[in-house]
Amino acid sequence: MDCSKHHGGTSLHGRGLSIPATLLLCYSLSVRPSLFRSSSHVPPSPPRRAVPLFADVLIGGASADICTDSPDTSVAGGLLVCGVVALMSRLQLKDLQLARGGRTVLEHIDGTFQDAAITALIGANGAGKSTLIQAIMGTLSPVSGSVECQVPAVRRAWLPQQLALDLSFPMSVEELIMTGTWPSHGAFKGYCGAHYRRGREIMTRLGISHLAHRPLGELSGGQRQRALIGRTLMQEAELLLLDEPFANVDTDTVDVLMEVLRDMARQGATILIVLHDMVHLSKLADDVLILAEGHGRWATPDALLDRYTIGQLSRPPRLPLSFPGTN
Amino acid sequence: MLETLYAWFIAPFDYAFMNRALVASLALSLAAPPLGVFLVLRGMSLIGDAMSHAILPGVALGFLLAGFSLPAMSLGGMLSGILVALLAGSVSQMTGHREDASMASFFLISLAGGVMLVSLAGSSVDLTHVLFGSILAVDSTALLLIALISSLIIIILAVIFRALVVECLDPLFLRGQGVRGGLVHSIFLGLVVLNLTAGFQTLGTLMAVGLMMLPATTARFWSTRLEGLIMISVLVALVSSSGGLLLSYHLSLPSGPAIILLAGVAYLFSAIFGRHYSLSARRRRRATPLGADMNE
Repeated sequence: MDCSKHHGGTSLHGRGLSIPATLLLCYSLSVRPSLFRSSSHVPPSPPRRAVPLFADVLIGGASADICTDSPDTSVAGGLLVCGVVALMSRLQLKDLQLARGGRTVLEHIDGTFQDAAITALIGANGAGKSTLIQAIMGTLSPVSGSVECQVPAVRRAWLPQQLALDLSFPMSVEELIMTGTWPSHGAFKGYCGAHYRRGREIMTRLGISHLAHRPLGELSGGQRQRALIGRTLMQEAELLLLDEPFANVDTDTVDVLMEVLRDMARQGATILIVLHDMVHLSKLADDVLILAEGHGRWATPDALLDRYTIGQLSRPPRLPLSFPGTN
Repeated sequence: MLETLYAWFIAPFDYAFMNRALVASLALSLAAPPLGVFLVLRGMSLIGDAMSHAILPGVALGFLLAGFSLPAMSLGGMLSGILVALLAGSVSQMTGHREDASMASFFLISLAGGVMLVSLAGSSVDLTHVLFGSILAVDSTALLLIALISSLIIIILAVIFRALVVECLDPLFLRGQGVRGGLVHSIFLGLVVLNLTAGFQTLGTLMAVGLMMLPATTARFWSTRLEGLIMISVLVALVSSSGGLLLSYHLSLPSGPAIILLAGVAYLFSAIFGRHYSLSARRRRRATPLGADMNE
């Protein structure tokens, strides 16, 4: 990647889309404005998916069940647009079985993650959320089935749970964000002024420009989360896996991060986020994958919200920890 | 006045052996501390120590086969160091033993084997030489070898620097970028072995670690930045190695321990008076006012 290109503010997905070409290209050009040019505007309330999935139709209509048994119904659905969305999805799970220490954690996980959308991954502790994320990152190989990911490894970003990273290493916020240039710069190429400027833009956008030279070890939980998101912005991540990014983070930070994630999704990034909070889910998610009892079910956030808030407005909405209807 | 200064600080190096010793230790002081800084940051401070034991059997074997020849001993040390590191790594992978446990086992085995080999071959004087070095007996071949290895270490470290930094912080990110963290780690350990083989002639296999670790641990008290750590540690190493040589000349002390002890003094001083984490830093009650760094 040359510097001039950066300077002009590039589309988030300059390269790396190697799949069925033209359709995709047209699509991406039409819906993905530049990430960094749009930094000044305040995004509207979380947009719903532009293209309704068959699942939505199904749920919104006759069926009261909020879960669809298999997301493949969305592919099979008669809607042409659905077919297009499913075809170009960059992340699919096929009959996935995952195990830890010889014990199966998840099995028969099927599904297509929507591109340019945020999918919430919910479930009780130990339901296998982190395991699934590791499988998608490729650090855990499945017992059977497969994860089909079209996103090149250099454009995948993973934010582990808090404290999983040793941030005592003497590195400043700016240096951390600059390591996000690895896909273009690798281990040797020097950073140029344009990249530093872009790092500055990213930090300003995340509200951490005053921390640029602060060592990572001195940051608060919210600040380090912003810094780590900053690296994924620099990396131009197309697939973003976030493991409880809003845990122990103040509401301001949550708002900033949500806005940034929303924007990234709008540019076309596929985002998978582990959540434990119905409020966050209602603001952020376009789609939901519920993990429980070793299986996965797909749902829409609206359906979840409807089911869990009707008549109980006095009670804060809670996320289901098991499949609705089974208990 | 000037003459006294000259007599104390410059005149000793008029002797060729002191001159060579100075160049050798300065070369080592440039290469060793950065490695030590990374070892400290990765919580592997004792690995250097363990590695120094690992090179001993190779050095002894070189000594057995070729006599007191530096290239043969260095080559042997390098090979055995790398071999032991690989063995320890693979044993811990195969058995699920923690790596520090298997390393400790292997290094003890190699230390015992090395001492055994040296004593089989020669007198106890030779053993002392190998274990504690004799910086004042560095000849031009040794000097060339030390300079060569030091340069090589600095160049390779520069090449893997960014990868090493990222690997320390977030190995998974590096892996996502298609770089095998294990490879970077192995190259780094290789550099540690290389450095120890360069150092054993001058400081001895056991003391060579000192020039790597003590400046690095000292620097930790003065800086919280990686660049700062490296620069300060190199500075400490340069000062203590030239100072140690002078001390050993004037007070007829063994040079290796003199150098390391001087670095040790710097460490203790820093532990008490350093800017960060030190005793005095803990008692300090000053703080920058709120918002002081807003305009950085």
